[in-house]
Amino acid sequence: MGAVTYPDPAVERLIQEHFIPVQFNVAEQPQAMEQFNTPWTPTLIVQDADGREHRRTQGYLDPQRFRAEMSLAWLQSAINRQDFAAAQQRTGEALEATEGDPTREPEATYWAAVASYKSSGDVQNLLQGWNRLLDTFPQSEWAKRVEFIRA
Amino acid sequence: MAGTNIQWRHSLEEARNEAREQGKLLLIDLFNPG
Repeated sequence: MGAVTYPDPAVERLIQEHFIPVQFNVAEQPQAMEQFNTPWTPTLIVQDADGREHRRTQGYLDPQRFRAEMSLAWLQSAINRQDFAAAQQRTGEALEATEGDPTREPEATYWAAVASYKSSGDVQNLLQGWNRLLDTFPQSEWAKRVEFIRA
Repeated sequence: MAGTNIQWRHSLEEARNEAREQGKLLLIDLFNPG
């Protein structure tokens, strides 16, 4: 991560814009593994200022996947606190950062539809987004979660 | 860390205070240089 991902200019910009980065070297601070309940490195955890966890990932991420993960964390944190207006504003960034990622683009599409619905109150926004998910990524885990709308 | 301009913090409490003041999230990276 330190050699490839963090020096990437787009990664630096993303961190600068949305995150306060904190790093623990577990060789020097092995207690951090227990503190954050992880058996493995690298582990990335996104929390808010009150310590609520919004996303966690383990294993190396290249710059593209890192940006996708962090843009989803940024979106997810707004959804988790039910600030759907903020979530709606964050969907564009998440969809852009996850584009072409077979795992994360469907996830961003799912939550973008939720944010659109909850911020507008119009259930058609949910159904349009989820139908797009079913049409575009029919084999994805996230499409499986919305198949019921066509049952 | 060489090669990056990211200013890593090493105190969770100070980082939480910064995050609260700036409306940001914490990105916590646990790594093993070995």
